Amino acid sequence: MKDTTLQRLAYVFLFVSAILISIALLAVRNIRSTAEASDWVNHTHSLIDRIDNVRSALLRSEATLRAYAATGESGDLITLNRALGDLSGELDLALLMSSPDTEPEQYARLQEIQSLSQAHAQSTRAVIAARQAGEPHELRKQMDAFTRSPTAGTIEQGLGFVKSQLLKLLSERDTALYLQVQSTRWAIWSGVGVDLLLLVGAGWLIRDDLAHRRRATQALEDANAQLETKVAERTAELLAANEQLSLDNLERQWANQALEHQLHYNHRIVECVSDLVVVLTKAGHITRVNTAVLRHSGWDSPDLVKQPFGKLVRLLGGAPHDGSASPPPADGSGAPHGSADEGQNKRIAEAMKAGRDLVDQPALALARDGRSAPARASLYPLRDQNKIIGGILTLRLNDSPTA
Amino acid sequence: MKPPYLLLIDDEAPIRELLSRFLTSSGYRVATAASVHDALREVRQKPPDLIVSDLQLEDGDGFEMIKEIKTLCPQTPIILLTGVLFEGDVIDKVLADLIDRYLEKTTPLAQIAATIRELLPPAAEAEA
Repeated sequence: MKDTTLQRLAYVFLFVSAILISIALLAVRNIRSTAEASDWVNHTHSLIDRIDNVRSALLRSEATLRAYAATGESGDLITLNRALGDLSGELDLALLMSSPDTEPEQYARLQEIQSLSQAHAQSTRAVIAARQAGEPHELRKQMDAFTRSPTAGTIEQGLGFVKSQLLKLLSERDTALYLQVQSTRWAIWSGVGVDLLLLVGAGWLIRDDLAHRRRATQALEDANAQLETKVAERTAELLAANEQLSLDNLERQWANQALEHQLHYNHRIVECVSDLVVVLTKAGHITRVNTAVLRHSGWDSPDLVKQPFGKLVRLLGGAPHDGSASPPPADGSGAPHGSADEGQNKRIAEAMKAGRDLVDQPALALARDGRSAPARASLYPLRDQNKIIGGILTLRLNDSPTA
Repeated sequence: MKPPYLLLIDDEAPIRELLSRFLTSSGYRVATAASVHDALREVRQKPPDLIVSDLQLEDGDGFEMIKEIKTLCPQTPIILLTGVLFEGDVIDKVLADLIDRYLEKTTPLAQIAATIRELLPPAAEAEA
């Protein structure tokens, strides 16, 4: 996997983790906030209940006071006292539940209501005392005062105000809670959505990287296959070249060996001939002689090579087998002595130049020690593609040598 | 199926060795003989699919040997590989009854191989 892909994936997962942590923190905060809001709502509903109880106790006290004033029944008095007790107790509880810090307005109003309820209780007790005293005039007077007194109405108004304020707060809190729930939901779904998008992106990155790796692997495999093919081809070429080289080498060795064999064979043929065989250049110089020449003349090969053929032979002019020609000089140069002999030897040179055979001519075979032997000489020009490159001079000795 | 079996007859060791190496590398099974005696023994023991023979051997005459081989295995093709140079009409008139091909000693190896392929029976050549 490429380094950049790893880096990108690490960033993606870090971002996803950060979003998940943020969502978790938001959820925890909202749970705590919801729990607090729930406590507050319960508290407020309880306070509203208290206020409703206070209001109920107030109404009950008024009703039982009127009944007691009319009848003087002790049962009504007991009910009245109980209603007054309830009124005082419920109002104390409402004050205890209310907090001057969080609900200062409501708290102040409740304090005011408590003062008014005390005044209300005093008015009520004055009516009770007049009823118990049995003075109708005083009773009527106290009842008129009680009825005309705005205390009960003010208390009721105050209670209604506090209750409406509390209900308003509950409504505001409900609205805030709803908004909080909505924003939380939005944040969570947004986070989840972003996370999903990021995870999709990470998946795309991994897929892209895998595809890239597959392509790279395929390219590598293709390159390897190509390389192997090339290596195999090259190896085959080298093997073929090596085989061809071996064959060429064998062929060359064979050619050398066969040529050597053939040369040896030809040499043996020439060597076995009893006639004197002399190989000449076109200019009439000796290049090679057979063993019969060496045996007859007494010369060695180095003494003869590059020498004129006259060192070995002298043609006799027109009189074969007469043996009358003058012998060669004692120095062994083979140079003819007389001009007639020189002219005879020129015939060999001329025949060579003309490419003519000179067959069975009377001649003398000359030796190193001055001896000469009558012989029959023949010259055969050597041709190579119609070009005269030399000649073969053969001497067949007659039976009796000439001293 | 075995590759064709050839017998090389030549009294010169370098010639035998070179030709044997070449024919072995060409896929043939090759036996060699340096004399008439060895050659006839080889032919009697295991008749070859083809014979390449020299003419001049130390212990006998090549012509006589070839005649005897022909009586032993008349179907075996014989190539005469020799340094003795024969004229064309001599080959046609004198040697044609004895041998299947005449090659000079200086004939290239590739041509020798081609002649062998030409003379071997198709089935035997296909195995080489």
